[in-house]
Amino acid sequence: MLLGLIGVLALLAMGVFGSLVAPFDPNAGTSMLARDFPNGMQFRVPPTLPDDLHWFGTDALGRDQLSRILAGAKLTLAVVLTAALVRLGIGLTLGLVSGWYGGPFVRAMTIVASGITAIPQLLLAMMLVLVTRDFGGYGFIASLALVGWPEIAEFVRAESQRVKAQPYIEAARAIGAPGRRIVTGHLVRALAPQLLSVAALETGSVLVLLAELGLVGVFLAGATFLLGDVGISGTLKDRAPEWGQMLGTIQFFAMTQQLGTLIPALFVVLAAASFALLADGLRAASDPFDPQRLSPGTQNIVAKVLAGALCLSAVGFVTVNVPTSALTMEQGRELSAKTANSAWPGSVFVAGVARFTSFSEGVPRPYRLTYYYRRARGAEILRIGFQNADRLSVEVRQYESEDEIDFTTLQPLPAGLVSYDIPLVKAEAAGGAVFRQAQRSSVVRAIVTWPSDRDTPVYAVTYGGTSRGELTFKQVCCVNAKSGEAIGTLRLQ
Amino acid sequence: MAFLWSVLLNAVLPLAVAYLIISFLVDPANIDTSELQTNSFLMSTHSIFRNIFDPDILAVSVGASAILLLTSMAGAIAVAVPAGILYAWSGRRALKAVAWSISTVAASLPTFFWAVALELVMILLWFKLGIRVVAIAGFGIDDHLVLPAIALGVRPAAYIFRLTATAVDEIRHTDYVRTAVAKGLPSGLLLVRHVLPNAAPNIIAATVLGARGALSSLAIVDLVYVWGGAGLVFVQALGSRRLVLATELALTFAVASVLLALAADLARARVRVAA
Repeated sequence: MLLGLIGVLALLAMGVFGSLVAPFDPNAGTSMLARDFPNGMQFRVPPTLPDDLHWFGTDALGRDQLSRILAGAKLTLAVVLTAALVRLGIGLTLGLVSGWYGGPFVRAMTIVASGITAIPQLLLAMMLVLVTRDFGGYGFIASLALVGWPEIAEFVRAESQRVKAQPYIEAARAIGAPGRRIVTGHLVRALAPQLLSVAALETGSVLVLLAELGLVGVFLAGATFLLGDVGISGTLKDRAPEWGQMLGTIQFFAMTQQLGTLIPALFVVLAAASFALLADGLRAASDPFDPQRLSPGTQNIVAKVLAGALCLSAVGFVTVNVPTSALTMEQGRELSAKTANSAWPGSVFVAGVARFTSFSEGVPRPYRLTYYYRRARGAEILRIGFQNADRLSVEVRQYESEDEIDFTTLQPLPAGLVSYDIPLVKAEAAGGAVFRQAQRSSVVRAIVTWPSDRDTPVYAVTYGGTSRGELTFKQVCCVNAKSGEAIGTLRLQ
Repeated sequence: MAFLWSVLLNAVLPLAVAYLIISFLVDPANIDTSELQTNSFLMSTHSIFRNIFDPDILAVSVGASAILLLTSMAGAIAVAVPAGILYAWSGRRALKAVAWSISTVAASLPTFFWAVALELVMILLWFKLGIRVVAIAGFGIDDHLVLPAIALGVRPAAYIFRLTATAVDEIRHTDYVRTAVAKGLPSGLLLVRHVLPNAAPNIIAATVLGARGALSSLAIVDLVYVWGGAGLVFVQALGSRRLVLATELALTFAVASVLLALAADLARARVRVAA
């Protein structure tokens, strides 16, 4: 009980403060880890085993696992707790209604409930997640919540039927108390201690379900696959730090990275175990015949501590936000200008491109920042890209005609442009968000360019999908890059 | 008549509901399986001699799953029932406390953790120390069966152990058993004649419910050990958009689960009649 309570409180604290104490940016990854060793420089390809710099090793994209576990606690717990509460709400309502009123409604509910329990939870949750993908995070939470409630409803039904037969309920009915008041005043109060225990148990089981889904490769934001853009960057193309996602790679590297892959699993198991211990302790505390029972006053204090911690951490989840070390468009431009000048002195900046993908919906961070520089004398173009807007993963190459930018009509861009945030928001408001929902696997990109037929540079925010490996753009929204005003929207169907 | 009615209420109608849910979810208009499809590891994982496009994949994968499930449940019963009886019969408190704690740990850790941890330990033993204990992955009715069966059976075993122990302990303290002891019946005979027959319904119900729990963890064990059973094939069928196959597999799971629940109900009904 005490152990479980401490564990759960520690978890909540980790959720609130985890991202503050994380030693690295949980999303910053590199395709190559360079380390200075006494005998010289050494390169290693992620995932790496734990060492003194990365205590828990790094994952397939070279992201620090300790930071991801710490920062991921927030998202994981928020999802799991919400789903467990919704589950409890459904189960409690249906259980109370059927336990109190009975009749044909109960039969119908029992049949539906046993129909749902008949399909294994994992498979049902997986199908639900895949169906509700368009609703983003809410769909995921709903999928976790819509399975597993029949057991709670059944428990509540049985318990409320037991309580219903008690003399004091009969007395309350005899003095003419309305049914609703008996249910909310007496029945719920009589069930409350057990409900607390069920809530803890459910939270643990939702967490395990989330982990199992992650293991299969279905998690909150994004999917698992091999990247092929600049060599093999890794197996995961997703940025939202979350424990289920961390388990997604466990199978890929089981042969070479045994220890590193086990660490996220251990955290899930520890968390689930502390919820289970708490549930067991709460049950024992409210059982008058158990040697570990607590007095009603103490139980009240425990319940209040838990509720308070839950409310505080909910506030903390919302308010404590750590800015990531991701590059902004401007920082990237400065950095790339330095690189370009060291390679080709006097080269001119021609365009900057920020790409977003629908897989990164959970995190407002570009999937790649790219900058183009023209050589001072000559027409060659240098492309400098930052994978995941990360200053560490730079890739430089001479221009190859990958993008549909007509470089010959571009003019050098002046400094002091607005960041891509404003055009992106404007484009989303002008129907981009709707488009992105309709088009699964869509790509969003914001290009700052200066076409020769305009007086000022513009951001062109394009929405498109990838079909057969080709980008097909469907909607373009143009925004003045100096003032941030929207210029126009173009729909290409 | 009453039996038929209960079959209708507890099996046929829930199955109809399950069918409606599955067919709604797996409808190509609703489900988007592209993210499973891009998961190259998941989609290319299959046992060597079969893949998802085999015509008889449904029967083969369900058969493989059934073998795994039956083996792990047989193992769980073989370990847990004697252990539960011994637990209830034994007087050594320290030993009992240890056994109970072990069962608590076994029951509270999720199946995926057992599967992954066992696999990683075996890999470590093999790669670091050169000891190859049993096969780590793949299908085969030999040592391939050991690890998945253990991973799948740990939780049901703990569950059966706990329920057997409670049931036997309860019966041990009833009046008729005390009378038999007072009359000088040897404890072996007492166990076989009086205790076990009365504890059997509870043990059977526990086994069936344990099997039902194992059924839902089957997919994970399938994936981790590349067993090629119904769970893995279901995920791959979704990924490759063979939605009819996916529906059939999900329904097979539902039928198995409902039948197990029905069996548990029947076992418990015997308890009620006996009491």
